[in-house]
Amino acid sequence: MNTSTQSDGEPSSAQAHCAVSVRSLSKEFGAGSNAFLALDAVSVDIRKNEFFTLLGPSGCGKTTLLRLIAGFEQPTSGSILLDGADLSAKPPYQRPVNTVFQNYALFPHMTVSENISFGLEMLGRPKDEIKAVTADMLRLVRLDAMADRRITQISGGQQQRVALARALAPKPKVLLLDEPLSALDLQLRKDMQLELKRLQTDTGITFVFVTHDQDEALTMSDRIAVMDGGKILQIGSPRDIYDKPQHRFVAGFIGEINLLPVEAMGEHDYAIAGVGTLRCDDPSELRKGDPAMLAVRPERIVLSAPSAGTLPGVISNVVYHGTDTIFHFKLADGLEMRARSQNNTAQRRAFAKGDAIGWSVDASSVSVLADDPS
Amino acid sequence: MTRAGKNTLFRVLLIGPALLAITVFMIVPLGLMAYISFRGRDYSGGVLWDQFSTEAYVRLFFERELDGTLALNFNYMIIILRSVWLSFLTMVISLAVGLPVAMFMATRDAKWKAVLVFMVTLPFWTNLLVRNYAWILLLRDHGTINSVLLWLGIISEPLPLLHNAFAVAVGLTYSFLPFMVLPIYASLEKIDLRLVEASFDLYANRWQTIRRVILPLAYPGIVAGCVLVFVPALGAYITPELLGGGKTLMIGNLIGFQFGAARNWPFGAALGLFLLALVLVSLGLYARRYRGELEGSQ
Repeated sequence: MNTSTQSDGEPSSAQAHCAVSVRSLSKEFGAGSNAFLALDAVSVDIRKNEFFTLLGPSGCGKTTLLRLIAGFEQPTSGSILLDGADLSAKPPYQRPVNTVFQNYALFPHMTVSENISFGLEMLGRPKDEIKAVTADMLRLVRLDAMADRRITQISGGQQQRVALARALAPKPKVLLLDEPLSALDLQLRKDMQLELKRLQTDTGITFVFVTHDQDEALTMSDRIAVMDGGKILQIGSPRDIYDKPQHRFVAGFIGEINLLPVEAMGEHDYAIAGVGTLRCDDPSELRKGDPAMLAVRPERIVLSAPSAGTLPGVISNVVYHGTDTIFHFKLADGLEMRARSQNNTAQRRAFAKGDAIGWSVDASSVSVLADDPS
Repeated sequence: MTRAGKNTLFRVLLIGPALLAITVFMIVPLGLMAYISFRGRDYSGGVLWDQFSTEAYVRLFFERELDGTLALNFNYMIIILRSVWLSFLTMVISLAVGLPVAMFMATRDAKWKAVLVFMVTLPFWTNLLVRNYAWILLLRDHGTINSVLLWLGIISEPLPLLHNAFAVAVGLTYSFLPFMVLPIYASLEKIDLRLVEASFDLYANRWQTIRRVILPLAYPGIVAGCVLVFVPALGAYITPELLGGGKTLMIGNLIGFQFGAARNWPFGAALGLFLLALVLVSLGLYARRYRGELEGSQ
């Protein structure tokens, strides 16, 4: 998949700005007929000081990629460069990266501050430096008062912050976070999302964040890599990923989306059989007559009374959601679509089931999916 | 009957058999021992039940001269100290040998673990007496080890391997090693592997990870193993009897001798209680010294 480097915006040779550079990395577990390819020739460049998210469903290879960077697993092939230096031969304890584990993996036989100072001690830092940095870290994650507590004596949210402080204390070049918020309840998770983003900005450390939660990815990341089946399907800013999905999987995994099977008419025009044509700003390599798949977010569809310049449809259902209303409507070919409309009085349109309507989408809000249109 | 009342009755019924067994088979015999230790000695064996005497305890440290005066006598203390020393040695060697074995076992995959645990328990399938006789065959002057060494020309005279403290230490270590390996294995096996990864991640190399993370977490198992080896080794009877010869008596043999050939039941009982006190005091000191660490690693 070379779409990854396309949407990256920058060629992969821009190594000076790369914290981590992953080169056609593959990882196979098991052998023979039981072999499982967890990571399939993945290449990605993670820039310095960026909050980079690996997003995908469980089993997509995101955690495997993280563990390979940390050094807990050995790649089957490919290489990982950190600041341009090959990491492959180094054991985890010689890699200047630290990990926040999914279940924190805090040392239960140590206090909060002993956990935080562990990495610095192992690096052989002087005693007074260890003390000072540990105190700084405790302040940074607002746990000054908990320094001498045992791990079993603090709450889940506090444990999460200890794990973070422990991993940040040695000032790693890259911080790896493996679904660190998944064990927290919703409110705490929201708070920690902001907290994490603040820490990343404050410390200037490159964060590589693994999650299956699209909201988390969209709110925190500078860039997101969407993964499935051991491959990176698309890399881009949250806006790119949400507004311009290039794969059916990416489109479906993040938010709601309407998929429209179409036929290419020209460089920018696509025909919906029996309905009309839609325009898309993005250039495509499709030839006239090629089948294609368009993706349109429900909130980008504008509904109105039938008129020239709109496409026809019939309302089949109206679902009220408080902040907004979702209108389900059918096209002439039977395809059901959804339009999401905010319930602010100015733009509010009242349509009822059975109403004939006209709908339109701005050409900038239509994406053409790159994979097969079947 | 109220629900709470039923519950209490149920509990009493459940715990009853165990309480009865402990009372009949442990408390009563112990009381009897204590009682006998303060009775007079019947020279034909047995006890003068109606005669109170502290003679047995005096005998632990003193020898009564013909004229009735007391003189210090360290013979029994030497045997007791030797017992403590040999048990301690057994414990240390078992720990040194057992810890790496347990670590090896705990890091295999599930299928291998089952096989290895079975192999560690394999000696239990043979009688301890038979296994100690086997060691005699190995250690004696013309036994397997000396024969091989002689044949290889490494030695010209058989090494004195049998009937000394060395033979007893070897035999005890052999007998009690599984009691060291199994509890350590059990506590190592419970350790979350992610903690080891976290340690590696935080720049601890293999050795530092073992020392700072694995050993502290395996501490309850190590303590249990040490107790399970030291305590039975202290009271060992068969091994010093067979491998130690007459010169390397341990306290167990001494007690056996008092109830047998020496026909001094009160002294045997007093020795038994002294051994019990020794074990309880050393366990108490140990628990006190390491209480914090034990609790911390729970």
